[in-house]
Amino acid sequence: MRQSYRFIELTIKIAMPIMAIISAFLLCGLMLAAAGYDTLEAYKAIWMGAFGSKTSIALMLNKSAPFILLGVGVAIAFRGSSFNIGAEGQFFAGALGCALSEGILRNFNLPPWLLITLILFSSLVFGGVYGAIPGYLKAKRGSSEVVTSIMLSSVMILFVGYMVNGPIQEPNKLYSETQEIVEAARLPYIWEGTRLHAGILFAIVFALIIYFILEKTTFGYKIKAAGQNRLAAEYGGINPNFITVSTFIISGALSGLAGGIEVLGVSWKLYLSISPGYGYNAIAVALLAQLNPLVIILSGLLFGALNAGCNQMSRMIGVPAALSALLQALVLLFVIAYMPLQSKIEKRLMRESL
Amino acid sequence: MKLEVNGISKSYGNVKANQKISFQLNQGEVLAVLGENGAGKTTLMRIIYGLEVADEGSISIDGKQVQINSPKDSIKLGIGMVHQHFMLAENLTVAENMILGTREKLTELINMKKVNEHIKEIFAEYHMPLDPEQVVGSLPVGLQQRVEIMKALYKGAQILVLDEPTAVLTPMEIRELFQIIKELTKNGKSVIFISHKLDEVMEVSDRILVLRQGKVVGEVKTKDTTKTELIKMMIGRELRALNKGLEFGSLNRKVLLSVDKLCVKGSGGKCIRDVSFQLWNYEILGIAGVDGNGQTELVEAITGLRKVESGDIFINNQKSTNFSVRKIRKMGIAHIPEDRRARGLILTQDLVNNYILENHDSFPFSKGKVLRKKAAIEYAQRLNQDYQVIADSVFVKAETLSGGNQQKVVVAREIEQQPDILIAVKPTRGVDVGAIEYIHSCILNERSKGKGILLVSSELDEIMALSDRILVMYNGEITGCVWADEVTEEDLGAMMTGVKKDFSAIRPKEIFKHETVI
Repeated sequence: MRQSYRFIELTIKIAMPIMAIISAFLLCGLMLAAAGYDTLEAYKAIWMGAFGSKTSIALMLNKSAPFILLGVGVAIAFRGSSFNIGAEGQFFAGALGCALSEGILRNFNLPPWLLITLILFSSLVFGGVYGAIPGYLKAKRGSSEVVTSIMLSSVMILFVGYMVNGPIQEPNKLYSETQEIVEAARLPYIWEGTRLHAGILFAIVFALIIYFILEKTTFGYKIKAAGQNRLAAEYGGINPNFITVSTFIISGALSGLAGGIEVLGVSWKLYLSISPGYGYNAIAVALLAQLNPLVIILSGLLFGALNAGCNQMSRMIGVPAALSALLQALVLLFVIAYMPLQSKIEKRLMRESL
Repeated sequence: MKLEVNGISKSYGNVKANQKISFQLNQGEVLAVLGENGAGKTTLMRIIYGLEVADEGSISIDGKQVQINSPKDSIKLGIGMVHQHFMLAENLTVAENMILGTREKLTELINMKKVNEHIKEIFAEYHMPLDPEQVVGSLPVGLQQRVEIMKALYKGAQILVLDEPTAVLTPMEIRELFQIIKELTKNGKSVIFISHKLDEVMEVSDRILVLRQGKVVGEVKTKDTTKTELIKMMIGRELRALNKGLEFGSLNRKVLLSVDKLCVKGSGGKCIRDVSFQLWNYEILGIAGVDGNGQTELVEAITGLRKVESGDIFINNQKSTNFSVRKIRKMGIAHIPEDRRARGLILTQDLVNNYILENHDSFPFSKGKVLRKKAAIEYAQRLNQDYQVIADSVFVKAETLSGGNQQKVVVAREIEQQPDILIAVKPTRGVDVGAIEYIHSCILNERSKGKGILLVSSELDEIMALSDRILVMYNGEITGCVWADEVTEEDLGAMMTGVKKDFSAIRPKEIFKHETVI
């Protein structure tokens, strides 16, 4: 009886996100049809846009990398019961760190591997420091991280806007962006004949590392303990404030790294539209994967595919690319809508299996 | 008014909470419903009050079958309930609380002045020392309970259901409550008194209905039964006698924990002032007191969960004031917390993770910073077995266990820390009789191993049965330190309300005597 209960529990765990995705596509399909588009053709175009050719797969993977990194970052904070919803700002902090350090390091003729490592490290630090602020405020002053992290996010985005229009604007002072990074600092392409850069490798490696930390280490144990019952953790000798600050730092650092990778791999310069809202959608990525870093690789790929596919589709059949935003939002809404259902079913099964 | 319950059954999934329960309640009678936690008392009362609907069976009042689908129905029929956790709006006045939910039409206006006068009359009738205009939150618990009772009467209750009404009261308040119950029955009201405390049931009731595992296992007249018989019905066997025996004299006695002029700020403006005592090895030091008189703050200060304002704490002669929880635990303290669900367990995690809450950082449960799951699983399996924890496996979430088994997990984990000092706060709260026996024997066993045990409980029976010495706390201060085998319940009650002070037992007996000889 217990075996079957465990099996059913796992099935529900898998079935719920899949149902959320299907529901989102169904509802979105209805909306498309109501707006006078051919739903099937649009979905086919999205599929082709994401998986139709070598080029589109590479593009899809490039889009997935930031979703995975940010998703994992959001997840580790959520696991420690800190609702870091300011990943977007930490992403830009990292991107800014990347641009600043590249501006300095470009003159030293460093070998590419060292140059890239140093730049990405500074992205990590910028993101981490910026993430630490809401963590510290929550731990020491008890201020709600939901408010502080999202506010600080706006602060950073506005600050970057100022920087690319002022101190670090490109030399001609025409565009709101930094000058292009040197060739040595660009992330290498890893698939011949495409523009697939090494970012996706970073994303997968960090997802694995965070999974290992959460599931196999004492630090991960402490994060989960403090996240699920702060009082019990404190009673057991764990310092929940330390967990709050440290998970926020890790979360910010991963977001910052994503920002650095985006600049070094895709845009080659810093401007405000390098992110189509990665940091906000990362929350959906993390929740869809039920905060499991390994599953986040999959949900990150899904969101990457949606983004890349929808861009292609809009070019091909003229449905606005905003469709991807709609789809992502619907997925998130359905995930949240199904969550209480999931725990309700679980509870009932538990009672019946007792 | 006469209440008849016929063949009530109620199941939750596969759990049969009530099975074909029938009983009668005559006018002017006190019927006690006795049973362990989980015997089905609460479910039965929720059905009578309309909070749950029975799967089968019927309820009649004065011979007429009635349908009770919600508390609204039951109140209309004259059934009132006083819940264990009061249903009062603390920021409203007594009168405002009493008229809550009595308005018939939305457009009806309320004349508070008239209401207050009316309620004053009712209070006078029942000799209640209550002021209708006082804010409920400012009343002591005993009086709040009376507001609950009066609220039910005001709504026309002829039958009053009291759910564990003595759990929150001092001995003095309990006696007053019994007095009120007597007065109620004299006026023709009937009372259902739910409890698991035998002494009280024997004292207050006319008849007793005993439930076990959802079934009626006995219905007796109180004057025709004994406590032993009731226990047998309640748990299906006789209670094993508590063996406290311990050879004194040759023991090497020393102070394990010393608290010196401790002052701690509590929540809500309360605090503890100038608390000093010593805990020795081979002894159980009980801390008695009504809940909320500083016991929680004291324990939290000793265990590092709360900041000490002034004064000092010494563990094994080493100062531990304001050390971190972790450091204090390392110095030899284990702690069974007051609320296992809030502090003691991470309910959403499995037993393995709960068992290693305090020592996941040390070998064999981790090496470097990497967890060694296998060692933890083996440890959890051993503890489940050694401490008779009933669970499907060590991988089930803690929340799926019954209260008694959850508590055993906490007790097992803390005792296995091999502490010098065990602080046990309400170690048997919400636990059935079988588990109580077991946990008590575990605690006594630790004492015979030479540990010092600080036992905090608001259940006087437990304190008196287990302790060697008893400290009494009232309003953040210590009002007594007495021998458990010499003090009477009345004296303890007096100290618990600050009426009396007695410090005759500040050191274990044989040391005390030894020194006085010299």
